[in-house]
Amino acid sequence: MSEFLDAVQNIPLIRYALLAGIVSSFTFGAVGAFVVTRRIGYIAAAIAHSILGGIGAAIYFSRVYELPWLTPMLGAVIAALLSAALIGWVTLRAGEREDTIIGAIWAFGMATGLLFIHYAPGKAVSLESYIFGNILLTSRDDVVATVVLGAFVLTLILLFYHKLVAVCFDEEYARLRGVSSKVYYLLLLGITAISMVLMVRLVGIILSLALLVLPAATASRFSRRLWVIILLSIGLTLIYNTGGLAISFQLDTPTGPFIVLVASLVYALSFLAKKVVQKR
Amino acid sequence: METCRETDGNPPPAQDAAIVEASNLSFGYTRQLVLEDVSFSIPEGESLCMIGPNGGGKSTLLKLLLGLLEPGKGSLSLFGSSPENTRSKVGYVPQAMRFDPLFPITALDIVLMGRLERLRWGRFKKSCHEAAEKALGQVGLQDLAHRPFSDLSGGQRQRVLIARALASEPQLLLLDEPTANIDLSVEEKFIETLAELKKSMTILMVTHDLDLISEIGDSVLCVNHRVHRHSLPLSGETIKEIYSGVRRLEHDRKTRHLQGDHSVCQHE
Repeated sequence: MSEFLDAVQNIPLIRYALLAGIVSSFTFGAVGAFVVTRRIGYIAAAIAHSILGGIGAAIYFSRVYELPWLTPMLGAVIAALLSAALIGWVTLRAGEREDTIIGAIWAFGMATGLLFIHYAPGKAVSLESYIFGNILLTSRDDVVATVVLGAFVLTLILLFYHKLVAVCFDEEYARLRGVSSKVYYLLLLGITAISMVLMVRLVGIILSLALLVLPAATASRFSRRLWVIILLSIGLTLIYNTGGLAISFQLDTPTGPFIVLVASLVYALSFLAKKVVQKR
Repeated sequence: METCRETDGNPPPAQDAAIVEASNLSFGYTRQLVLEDVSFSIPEGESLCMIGPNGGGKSTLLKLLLGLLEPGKGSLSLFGSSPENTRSKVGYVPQAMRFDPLFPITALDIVLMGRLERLRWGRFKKSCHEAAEKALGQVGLQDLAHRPFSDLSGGQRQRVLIARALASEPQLLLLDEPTANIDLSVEEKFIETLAELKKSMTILMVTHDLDLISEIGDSVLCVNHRVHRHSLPLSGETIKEIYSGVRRLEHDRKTRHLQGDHSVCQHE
């Protein structure tokens, strides 16, 4: 363990990774609880996959037209928000089946991302770090972006907590009480989209959904009040992110998969623990 | 009435200005009309029960009253204005069956939703909590305020939803089959609660429950594409006919009434 603490003090990259992990835990825990409660995990997954399209497009256009401000992070945020808006619009209009549009965006995002990256001039882009994540590639700018986006999401949740809950629980009644259900549903998808961007940076596209959903799912086995679930799942995510980083550093294993493995095991154990608690 | 008008100076709460006024109302989701040429009115303080077969238009009429749908033809007004503009005066109680049983929320949290209109952001004010607790008291659930919704019985859940509607301090209460998921053993208590509410507000409910109709209802609106109104209490003979009609609705809805057979209703 002391090796890890030394590394945190001496190696900026490790420090940034740890900071990003800690800060994003709050966002992930809170948003994850809403995603699990409202049962929109697959929407979150589709958004995560569409992010590759945004990253690919950003890399391609920034290199072809020399636009240094067009970073992969910016591309990711735009793609995630666009996908969220599209899914939300289709769901609210109900013109097409929700699962169909989710599947379409999921695959379209990956396909465009792969093509853009293939045709992007200049040095080859490492796909692996986007698909499987690499927390050790976190830069100072990433930490700043994580703090800004995370704070933005948490502020929205704190301000509109009761309205978000009301829309999740009973969209029709919320509307009758003067809450614009559509706006708040889109808001929920929007903050989910931003979380997925941060998540992809940390653990990659494939593993992102697990880290969003598992802590909240575990937490919701032990409480039936949303704000308690939010706090519990923030706590669990904090433990997974920091503990996972430290242990995987010590063991020299890839961080993302290790974090998700631990989260899955704890989720599985929570079934047993609940059984034991109930038998008493 | 005359003297009132002179002494008050204000326009009187004209007793003929009904709380709900539908005239020649028609509506269809497609070209085919679900409701056609519907006219009825509900004076203040009346309790009206809507009965009718599935697909007859009860739910559609309820949605029109809530302003969730726009009338195709004709007019529908609540408190002299459009349903959309008068939502704050209307309390709505949906069926408790509709909700996600795993949703992590307490009874009090749900009742507080009745106060959403008074919330811009942040937390509910103390006055909202007081109103919510009072509403829970009105339905006899003050002790269960902090219980998760999923722990409650069907009857208790339905009461929570009534409390939520009451928390917004409505003048008109709309209920959608409030006793549909309630055990017979607790139904009596439930009807008592509604009878108490009936004293202070106008009630309109969809129901097939004969006990509920006879205890609470002042009149019955038979909704099946068109509407027919009956006043209660009726003569023994008519009650028998209507009730046997209602029973038939329950057992034989799809055949007889869907074909627009209103023979059991047309005896006024």
